[in-house]
Amino acid sequence: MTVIEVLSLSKSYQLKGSNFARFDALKNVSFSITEGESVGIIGHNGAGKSTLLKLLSDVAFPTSGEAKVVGTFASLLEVGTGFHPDLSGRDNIFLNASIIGIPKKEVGEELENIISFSGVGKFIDEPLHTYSSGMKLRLAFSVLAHLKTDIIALDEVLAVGDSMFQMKCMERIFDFKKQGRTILFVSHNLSAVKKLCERTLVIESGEIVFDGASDLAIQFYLNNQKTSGLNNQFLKELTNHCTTKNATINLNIEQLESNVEFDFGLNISDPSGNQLYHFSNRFIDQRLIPENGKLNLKLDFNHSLKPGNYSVSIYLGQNHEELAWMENVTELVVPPYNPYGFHNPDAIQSAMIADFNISTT
Amino acid sequence: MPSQKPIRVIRAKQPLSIWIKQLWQRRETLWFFVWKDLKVQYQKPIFGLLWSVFQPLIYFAVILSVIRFSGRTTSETQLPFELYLLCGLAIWNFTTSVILGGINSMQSNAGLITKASFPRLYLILSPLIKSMFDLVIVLAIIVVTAMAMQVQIPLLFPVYLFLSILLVLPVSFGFACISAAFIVWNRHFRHAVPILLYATLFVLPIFYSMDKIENQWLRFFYHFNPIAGAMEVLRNGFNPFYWNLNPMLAWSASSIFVLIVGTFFFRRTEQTLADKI
Repeated sequence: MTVIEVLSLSKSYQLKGSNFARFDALKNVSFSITEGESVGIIGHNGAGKSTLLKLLSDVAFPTSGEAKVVGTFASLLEVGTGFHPDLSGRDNIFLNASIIGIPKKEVGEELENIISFSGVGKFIDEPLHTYSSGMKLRLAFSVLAHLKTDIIALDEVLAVGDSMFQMKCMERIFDFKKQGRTILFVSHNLSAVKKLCERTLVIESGEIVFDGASDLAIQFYLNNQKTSGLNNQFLKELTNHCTTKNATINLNIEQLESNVEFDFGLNISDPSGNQLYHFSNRFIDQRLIPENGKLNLKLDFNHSLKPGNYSVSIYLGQNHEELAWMENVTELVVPPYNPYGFHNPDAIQSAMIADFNISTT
Repeated sequence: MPSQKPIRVIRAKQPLSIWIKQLWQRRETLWFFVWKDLKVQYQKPIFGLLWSVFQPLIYFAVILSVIRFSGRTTSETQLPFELYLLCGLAIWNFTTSVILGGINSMQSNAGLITKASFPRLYLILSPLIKSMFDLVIVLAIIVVTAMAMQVQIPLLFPVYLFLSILLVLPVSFGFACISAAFIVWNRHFRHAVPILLYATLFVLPIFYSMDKIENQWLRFFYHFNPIAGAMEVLRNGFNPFYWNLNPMLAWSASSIFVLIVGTFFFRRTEQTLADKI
């Protein structure tokens, strides 16, 4: 039975300031999901994944198109929505659940389970501002873990918390799956998507560019690192290809002044904005001279990044003056693998993988 | 039993019938919003009570002293001036706290608006319900003051009280909706709303009587102003046979009008709320 039916759903936002320009966050998206399916949704930041979930959750309204949802639906676009610091943990369970749309009666029946699952113990009647951030997360997730809705939509809920917490969440989500419930799972964590979902949608610039088996979808996503919608007069094309050990980034640059020295810089940072790599032609004393105003650059490097998404920022300059500084212009996606051969890559907390040995002396 | 499962249709425009249905279906969430506000405020009951009556009592003390010390006459009112002033302030305080509460809750819950789905009108309704609790406390103070001043409380007083609340409720709600819509449209309005509200302290017949006003336009303004009307009705409760409530129909009509316009504005804004806030 079809539980979610989406028919050419579109969402565009009015851009402020610029002559009624509109930005299309979703363009004519159509798909359907049958009961009990676990469907992953992957794509770059700003590709439209969260917009899609917001529309399905009634948080925002589409510009055109239609969707039909059959059965009870709960979405978690955030962990701990509506938590109030001055109320006790117990009160916050009811408050949070009510805001997500779970009746008080249902929470009351599960209250003891929710409290014991959260592991906050005797702190449950203390005000929330006395909790550590980890405790808040556990409390919030345990509300989610006892949801009884037919369909559950999760947006990046695993991006927070420590690895123990993430593993516990993941187990719980697998339980949902075993209970035959329908799951929509938006994540940047490709290995989690691969494990949980048999089907995955790839969203690119507001369109579904791939809909099929998760393995193939992830493959497709990794092979299609072409950045669309570049809004820069110089940078015309930007593509990248990344394996577990190497990365290649190609840039087509136009409209440069011919025969004038060109400067190029590229930063790679993790999701929290820490710069991990910085490349520039100046570091290696390489002169770049555009011919006919054009330059095709190829940057090759070995990396030791753990699987995940990293953002790329680019600097272009000529004649010692800045032409463009594009922050987070594209994403570098390191495909899922098991660094060190370790079975649970999520437990590795650093962004970098190193060759290492431990011996007893 | 697939036929029993709820079916939800997502469209660009939500029909009014579904909007109203959701307003009713999710009412438990509204109670939770109200319960949260009350619980946070009354964690220390003394302080909770104090904050409810702080504003009207401070204004009461200030206005009374200014008028007394400046040697103004306060005999133009039918009621003892203290009582007259308290009635006016109770209504004024209610309206301003509904409007300010509404716009504050729209702002402080911006995170909820973009992350959770519930009828957005609850953000206006929950401070309104909380303000009603505060109003009850202020009204209790009025009754106690009346008894202390040996003003007789007629049997018909509750009827007048009820009528007065009935007048002020729709208009306050309507203005709260309109202000919220304006603030979503342009957030700079949030600075203007409190200033305009405090200006109404002088525009409304709180510490003077509208009977004495001769200017035709001002009289017209009062005759279509349900907030002034609610003050007048409440004061008449102490003196039911002194009837000067001829504009009752105009007051009710304009109160309902503001309610409808406000709801309409709010519903228009609601559709794009999560995009804009």
